[in-house]
Amino acid sequence: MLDAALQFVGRTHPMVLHLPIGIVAALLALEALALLRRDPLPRSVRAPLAWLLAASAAASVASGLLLSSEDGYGGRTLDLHKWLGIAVGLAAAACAVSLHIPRARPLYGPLVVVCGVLIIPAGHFGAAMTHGEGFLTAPLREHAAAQRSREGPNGGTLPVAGGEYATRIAPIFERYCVSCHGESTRKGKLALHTPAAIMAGGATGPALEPRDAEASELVFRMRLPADDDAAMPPKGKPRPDEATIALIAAWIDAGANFEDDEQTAAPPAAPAPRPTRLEAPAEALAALHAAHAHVEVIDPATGALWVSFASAPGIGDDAARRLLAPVSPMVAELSLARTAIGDPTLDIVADMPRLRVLSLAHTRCTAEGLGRLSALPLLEVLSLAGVSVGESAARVLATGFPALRKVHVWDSGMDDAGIAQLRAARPYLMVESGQPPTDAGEPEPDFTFSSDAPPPS
Amino acid sequence: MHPIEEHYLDLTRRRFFGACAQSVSGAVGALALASLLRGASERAANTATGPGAGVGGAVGGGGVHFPPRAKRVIYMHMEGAPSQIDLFDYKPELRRRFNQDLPDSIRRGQRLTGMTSGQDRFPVAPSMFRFSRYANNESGAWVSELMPHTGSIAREICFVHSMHTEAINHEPGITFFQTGSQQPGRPSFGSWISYGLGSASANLPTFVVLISQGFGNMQALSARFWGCGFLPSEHQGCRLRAGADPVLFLRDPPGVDRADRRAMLDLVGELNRREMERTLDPEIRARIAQHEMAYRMQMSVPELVDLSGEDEATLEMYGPQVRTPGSFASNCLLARRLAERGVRFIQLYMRGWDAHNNLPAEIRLQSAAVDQPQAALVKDLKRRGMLDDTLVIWAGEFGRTVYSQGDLTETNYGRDHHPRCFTIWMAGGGVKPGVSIGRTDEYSYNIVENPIDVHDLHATLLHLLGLDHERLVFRHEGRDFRLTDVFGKVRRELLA
Repeated sequence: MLDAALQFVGRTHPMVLHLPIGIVAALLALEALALLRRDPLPRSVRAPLAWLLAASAAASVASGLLLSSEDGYGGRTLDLHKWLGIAVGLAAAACAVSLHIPRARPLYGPLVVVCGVLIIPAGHFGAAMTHGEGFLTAPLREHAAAQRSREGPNGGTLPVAGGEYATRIAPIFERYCVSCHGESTRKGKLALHTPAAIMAGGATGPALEPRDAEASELVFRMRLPADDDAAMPPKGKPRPDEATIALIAAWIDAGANFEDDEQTAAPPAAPAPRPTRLEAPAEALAALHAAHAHVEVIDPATGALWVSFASAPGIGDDAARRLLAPVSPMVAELSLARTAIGDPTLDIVADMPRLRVLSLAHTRCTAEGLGRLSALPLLEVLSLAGVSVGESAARVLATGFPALRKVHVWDSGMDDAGIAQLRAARPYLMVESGQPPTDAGEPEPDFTFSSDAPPPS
Repeated sequence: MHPIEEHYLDLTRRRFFGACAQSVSGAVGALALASLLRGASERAANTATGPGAGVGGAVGGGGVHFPPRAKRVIYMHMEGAPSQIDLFDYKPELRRRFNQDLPDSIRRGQRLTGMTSGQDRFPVAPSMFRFSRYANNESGAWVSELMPHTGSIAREICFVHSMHTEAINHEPGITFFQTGSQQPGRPSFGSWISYGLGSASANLPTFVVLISQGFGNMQALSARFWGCGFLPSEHQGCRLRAGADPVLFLRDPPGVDRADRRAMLDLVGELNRREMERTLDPEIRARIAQHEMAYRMQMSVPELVDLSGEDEATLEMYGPQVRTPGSFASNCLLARRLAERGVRFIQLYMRGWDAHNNLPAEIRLQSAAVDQPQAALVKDLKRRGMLDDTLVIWAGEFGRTVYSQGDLTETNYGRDHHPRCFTIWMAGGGVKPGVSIGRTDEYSYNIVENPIDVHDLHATLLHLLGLDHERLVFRHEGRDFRLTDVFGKVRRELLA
């Protein structure tokens, strides 16, 4: 453990290091300008700058050496950074001293240039440790990768079988973790760049428990809210989405296998599938919009749609089928009320697995077409108001329609007997017949006014 | 991306200096542009209100925050404030206190309006109307003989007996109910819905207002009750007038046919677009949108008000006044037709409830005008399967006093404004049906159980529409505004 004061000095390194960079740049610029004008830089400018450069470079080297002795730094990048930094410091010192030794005066120019050249790789390797290897070129590489394949590192669906470490898990660690938990920087003594390093764990113990993602520190930390102190990746760094974390969890649950061998993989313990958010194809939405249909996301979590043809009463079967087919997986509520559609459209409606509420009020559908909807798994509310489905509709509605809770049959040609039959067949189904309520109320008795009540206390 | 936001991004540095140079003084130009740019950043903050943004035909709507229970609102505002004591807040015990002085223990020195504060005494005026109990989903709802049809739909209705407000006069009272603030200038409820959810109709406005004249003492209705405040202009309510011309100047003059009109709109639209590119004034975009909407309304409005497709039994259900344009019956039927056609927010006003004197005579006429139509509207929505996702609200801006304003006899009395308690009712759209919420004291003067203020009501109504009242915000003058400002709580007891 370092002395706290020394540790403090060490941590000024990321600030102090900018001073020599700025000064050497200024010095080079001034010297270049002077050369151009054939008017040498006055000594009163040159000497102070050179000494400032030497001093700040020395401070950077000292603080950097202190910082490197803290936990979590190491590897080839650190070595390169360290030796290049020390070289810059020595060159800067030599540069300043050369001004005061007449014989060494000719060395001054080359030394400044050496400083300026060496400081670039030194700074680069330092930055690579802070921001992660390849920080600078990552956008270029990602762009190129995107060009090669539309599928990103997190592509594909759950669950993962074992044996997909290299193809699907390692790229996630690579993208989100190894800049701080890699070969050169091992924050918390944890590295995630090789299987051996992953299994070795970090300062707080093992990173993961094979076959138990819930108990794995890695998954626990990744699922913490971003503002939690222990959350990983920490606040301000890019964080993977839940689907990506779920992929890692599934891989751990499946045994955290690093081998690319399907045979040795444990059978996957598939986590419960989460409802995925569906996106309607843009061209399908544009077509609906152009036809004056209204489309609205009514559940932001699932992307479920409400589609209504309230402004498009002229729509017929052909257009309705064409417009609805591309969005059928995500329609949860559909109103075709007052349109000119009939049974042919119901073939498309029958293929809407998420449909919960359907209004066919005042359309041309028939009982026969209605029968095609009987397998809709989630249909809860159905309006047949003003649809001439006739009496056979009672029989159609009595079977199938597993989730049906309420049906509106006002003005549908279903008579009292049919309604009674339907109610008997499905006692828990609300059959709204549209009969006006007959409750006349129970009147209070006659009364007279008086003033005999005592005032309230 | 929001078109306006996109447009502001077109602003370039060159443009900035060009605009500065063109103006009389560069500094003034820069200031003007800076204010535009601030507008742009506020506007950027104002676009993404929800994850549904930009889907389909929604204009300006950010979309719901969570799955909604209601998709549209029919809000019946009873201008002038109906008497809760004579309609819904049943107080039979008051009949034994006829003409007694209102005890100080009840009034507690609370403020009165200037119309009765000078009265020598405050004599208790029990309702002269008989009440009946109608079956609902609890132990029944007491409704006065003035509203038998409304009583008959008690199973659908949620009565709230414990509403209260801060305003004691009509103008601030209505402004508070409609905008969440007693001071003018905020967007109305319907405008917030339009802003939050966008349009659901391709050829009718998102927010439509219908006004019925009353039979009692009428107060003025300001157009700003359906104004959009600081929201973009396309969110303001569109008033439909009674009669042959529901929208003035919508019809083409003689000699102009639809093709001419189209050509004219194309040209004017092009000029407007150029002006918008030059000045970046978002109001021009609203103007273009309104022109196009008006063009479509030339077809859709005549179809809307043409009742020839309604069957006789339906017309009869709304009552004898249904064929009189502008009557409450006619407007209730229009409200259903608007709802069917995708209009998101339908605001009905019934004027004339301000019965300071001669209350019995006035309230008889007023109630007769609204009772059958409003019940018919609920029944009609229900049988079509539309009540489930249509939120019906019936409310005045406050209540009326238990004591009589002016002379009190057994058959005549008046009542002054009373903000401390009053009754509203709601139906459909995810509201708990067939219940009564809240209780008042035996004088219907103070609330003794479950007080609900206007902000809570707004928060709850927005919740039913799938909007979180704390997230439906608009940045204006450097801060975020909400319908509920810094107040409001979703009242779960009102939800089904």
